[in-house]
Amino acid sequence: MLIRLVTLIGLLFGVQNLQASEWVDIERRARGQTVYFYAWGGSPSINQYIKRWGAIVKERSGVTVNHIKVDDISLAIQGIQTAKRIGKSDQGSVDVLWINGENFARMKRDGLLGDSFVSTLPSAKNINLDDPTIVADFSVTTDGLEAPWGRARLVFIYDQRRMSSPPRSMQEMYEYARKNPGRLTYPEPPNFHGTTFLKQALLETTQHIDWLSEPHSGERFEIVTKPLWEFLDSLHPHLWRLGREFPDSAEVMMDLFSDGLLDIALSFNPNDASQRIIDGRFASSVRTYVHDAGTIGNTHFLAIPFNTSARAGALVWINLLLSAEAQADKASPSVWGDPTVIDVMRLSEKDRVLFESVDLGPATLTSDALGMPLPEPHASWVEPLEVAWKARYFGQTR
Amino acid sequence: MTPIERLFALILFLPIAGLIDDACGRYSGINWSSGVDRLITEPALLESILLSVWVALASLLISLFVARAVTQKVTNTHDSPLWRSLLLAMPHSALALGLLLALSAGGVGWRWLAPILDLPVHAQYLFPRDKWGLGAVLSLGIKESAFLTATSVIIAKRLPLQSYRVIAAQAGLTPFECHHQLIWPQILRSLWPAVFVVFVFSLTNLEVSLILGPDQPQLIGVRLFQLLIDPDPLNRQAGSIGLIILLLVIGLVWLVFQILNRSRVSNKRWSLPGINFVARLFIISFSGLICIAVVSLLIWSVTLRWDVSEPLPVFSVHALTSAFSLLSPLVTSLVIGFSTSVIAVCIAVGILEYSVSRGRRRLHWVWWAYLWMPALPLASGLLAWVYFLGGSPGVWPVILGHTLIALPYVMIIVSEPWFDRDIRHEMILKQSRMSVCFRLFRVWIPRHSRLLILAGALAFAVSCALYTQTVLLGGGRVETLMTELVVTVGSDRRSSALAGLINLLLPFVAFALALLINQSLWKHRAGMQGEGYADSR
Repeated sequence: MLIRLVTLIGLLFGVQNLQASEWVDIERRARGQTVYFYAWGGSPSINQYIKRWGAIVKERSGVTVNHIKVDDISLAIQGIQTAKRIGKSDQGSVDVLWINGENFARMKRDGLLGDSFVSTLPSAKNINLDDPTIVADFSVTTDGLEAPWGRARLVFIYDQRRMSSPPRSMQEMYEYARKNPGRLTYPEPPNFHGTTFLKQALLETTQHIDWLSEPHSGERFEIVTKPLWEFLDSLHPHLWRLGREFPDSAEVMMDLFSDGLLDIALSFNPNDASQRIIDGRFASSVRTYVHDAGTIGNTHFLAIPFNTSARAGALVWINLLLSAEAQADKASPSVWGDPTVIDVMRLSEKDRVLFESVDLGPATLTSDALGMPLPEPHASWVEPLEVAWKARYFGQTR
Repeated sequence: MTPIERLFALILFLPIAGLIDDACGRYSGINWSSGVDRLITEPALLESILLSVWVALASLLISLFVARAVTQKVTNTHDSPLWRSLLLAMPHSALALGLLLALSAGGVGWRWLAPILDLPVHAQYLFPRDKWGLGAVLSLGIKESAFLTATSVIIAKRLPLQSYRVIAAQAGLTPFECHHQLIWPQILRSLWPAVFVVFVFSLTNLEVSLILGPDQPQLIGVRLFQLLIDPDPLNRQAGSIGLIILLLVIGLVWLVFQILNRSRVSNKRWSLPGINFVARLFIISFSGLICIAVVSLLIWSVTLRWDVSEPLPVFSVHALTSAFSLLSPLVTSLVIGFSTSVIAVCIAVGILEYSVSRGRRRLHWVWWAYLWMPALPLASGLLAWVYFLGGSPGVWPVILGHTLIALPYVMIIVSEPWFDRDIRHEMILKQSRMSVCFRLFRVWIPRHSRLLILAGALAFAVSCALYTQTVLLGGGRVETLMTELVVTVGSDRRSSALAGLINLLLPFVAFALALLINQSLWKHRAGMQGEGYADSR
C-alpha cells in the first residue's frame, strides 16, 4: 500500500515536473516571437488594457503582442478559412482570436482551431474548467480549444433619476414602451448585442425552453419562435424611431441613453455602467438591473488558429491574460470592468486580495442581485434567428 | 494599347477572374446554382438594388448640376483652387460621420436649431439614416460635386474659352447661356469617364452607406460586402455571384453612357430663370453642411456626455488623451500616404512620357477602368496578385494597392497638361540633341512641377481614405487612421469623432503644404509661371 502511495505521489510529481519543463520549453520558444492578437477594437479602455499587458508580456517573456483591432472577427476567420482552403497550414496571419458563440462553433466545425491547449497553461489551475459556461460555449463543448478570458452577463441600464422602477420582464418592457413611445430600443441584429436581446426575448416568451439547448431544427424553430415574433411585432411600433431603425451596437445605444434620448440601455458587461460613471460618460445616478426571470450569461474566450505562426508566443500571452494579476486588473471598472473567469477560492491569500480590493463601482450589481445566468441557446439557433429577424423586418418597416 | 497599358489591364482582369472562380465554387465545392439560390433568398434584395440605383443616380445628377454651375463661376473668375482642393481632399467617411453627428436626431445641428425654432429637442426623425437614402445622397453629392468640378475645370482649361465668349457675344448670348450652350456640352463630352466613376462609386460604395445608411435594407454594396466577408462558403459564393452580376450591370450602364455621349447635343437654349439661384442654394447649403460636419466632429471629440436638454456638452480636454493612441496609426498613414504619392507620381510621369513618345495624345480607358472597379473585388484581386508573386499581406502590399488606386487619379490630373505640351518646345529640344532623360528631368518635370505636387497631395488624400484595400492587403495588421475610424464607428462616439477629425485634417495639411510649396516654387522665374505667361508680359 505504502509503495503504491509513494509510486502515485512520484507519478504526480513526475507529471507536474514534465508539465513544468514543457512550459519552460514553451517560454523559451516564445521569446522573440510576435503575436498578432485579433480582437474587437471599438472600446478605448479595452484597447488600453491590451496595450498595457502587451508591454508587460514583452518585458517579462520577450513576446511582442500586436493588437489587431477589428470591428467584426468574421474577416479574420475568413482569412484563416482561405488559408486552409489553399493548403497554407503554417505562417498564418492570426495568432490569437477573441471569440465565442457561433464563431467558435464555426471554427471548430471547420477544423480551423489547432490542438487543445488550455490544460498546458499554468494559469488554468485557478479556473474551474468544469464550470458549465466554460465546458460549453453556446452549448458547443470547448474541449480545451479555447481558453476562457472573461464573463459576460446581460444587464439593463437605467437612470434612477428618470425612472424609479425599471421593467423587469419583456412583458413589462412592452407595457413601458406603450406608455412611453420612442424611449426604448435594442441594437440591430446580427449585431452581437442585438442578437443577445433577441435570445433573451426568446427565452422569456417561448414555452419550449428545453429545445433551445439542443441543435436547431426547422420544425421546432417555427413553434419556438412564434411567441417571439408576436411579441416583437407588438413592441416595434412603440420603439425608438417607430422600430424603423435600430442602433448599430450597444455602444451607440448607450450614447443615446447618455444623451437622454432613451430610457434603457443594455450591456453584456455588468461593470460597464460603473466604468462609464467613473470616466464621466454616464451621470452618477445611473444603475443596472436584470430581469426577474434572469438574463443570459456566457463566457468569452481566446482561441489559437491551426495555422498560427507563433503558437508558443500565443500560449504565453494567453497564460498571462489568465493570471490573477491580469484578471484582477481587468475586473476593475476603472480599467475595463470585465468579470473574471478565475475561481477566486483557488487563489493564494496574496492573489485573493487583488480581487477583494477591486472597487466594482456604484452601478454594479452584487452576485446575489445578478442571480443565476440563463444559459445561451445552442449556437446553431443563432443564424436562423438572425436570418428570420432580417426576413421579417427588412424592408417591411417602411 | 501600349505594353504598359496591357499590363495594367491584366492586373485589373485578375480580380474578375478570382470572383468568377469563387462564384463557380472551385474552392468551396458548392454548385454555382446553390449560390444563386442563396442570393435570391436574401430578404429585400430588390429593394436594396432599387435604392442603390436611386442613390447613385440622385447623387450623380446633383453633383453634375453643381459642377456645371461651379465650373461656370470658376472659368469666369479664375478663383483660387484652394477651397476646391480642400473639398476634394476631404475623405468620404469623415464627411459622412460629421454629417451623422451633426444632422441626426440628437445631433449638434438639431440640438441647437430646435430651441431656436421652438421644436421639441427630443423629436425623433429618420435622417440622415433615412429609408430613402437621402443622407447618403447628400454626402455623396457634396463629395462628388468636388470631384466633377475639379475634373471639369481641368477640361475647361483646354478649351478656347475666350473664342467661345466672343462668338457667344456676337450671337447675342449672355455669359450664362454661353457657358451652358457652348462650353458645358464640350466639357461634358470629355467628362463622361468621370461621370461614370461617380455613378459606379455611388452605386457600390461601402464606407458612406455603412455610416449614413439607409438601413433595413442597406445599399447593395453593403449587402454584398456582408455576404463576401461571411465565413460561410455558401454566403461568400452568393456574394461573389452578386458582385459579378453587379459588374455586368455596370458594363451595360457603360454602354448606355457611351450611346448617350455619342448622341447629338441638344440645341435647346438654357433660359431657366431660377437655375442659377438653385445652384447657388446648393453651393451655400453644401458649404454650410461641411462646416457643421467639421464642427460636430470637433465637438464630439471633446465631449464626455451631453444631455439633449442641455445647450452645451460636458467637455473634457482629457478626452483628447485618447489621441495619443492614434499616434501609431497616424505615423502609418503618413508613411503609406507619402510613399503612395511619391511612387504614384513617379510612375505617372514615366508612363505619360512613354505615351507621348508613342504619339498618344489622350488617356487610355484602362486608367478610368481602375476607378470603375468596386473596391472589394479590386482589393481581393490585388491580394491574389500578392500571393501569386510569392508575397504575403503587410505594409508593402498596402502601399502597392494604394498606389494602384491613386495612380489613375494622378494620371487623370496630370495627363492633359502633359499631352498638351507646346509642340514648338518639343521640336527645339529634339533639335538640340538632348537625351530623353535630360529633357524629362531638366524641362518637363520642372515645367509641370506645381501640377505634380498637387497630384501628389491628391494621391496622399486618396491613400488616407482607403479602407477595404488597407484591411485586405494588410491582412488586418496595418492600422491607419481610416481603419481606426471604421473600427470605432458604431462603438465609441468620442473616439470615432476624434479619428474622423484627424483623418479629415491630414489631407488638408497635405494640400496646404502642396499649395505653400507651389507658391514659393519658381517664383523668381517668369518663364515658369505657366504656359504663355512670359510671352504675355
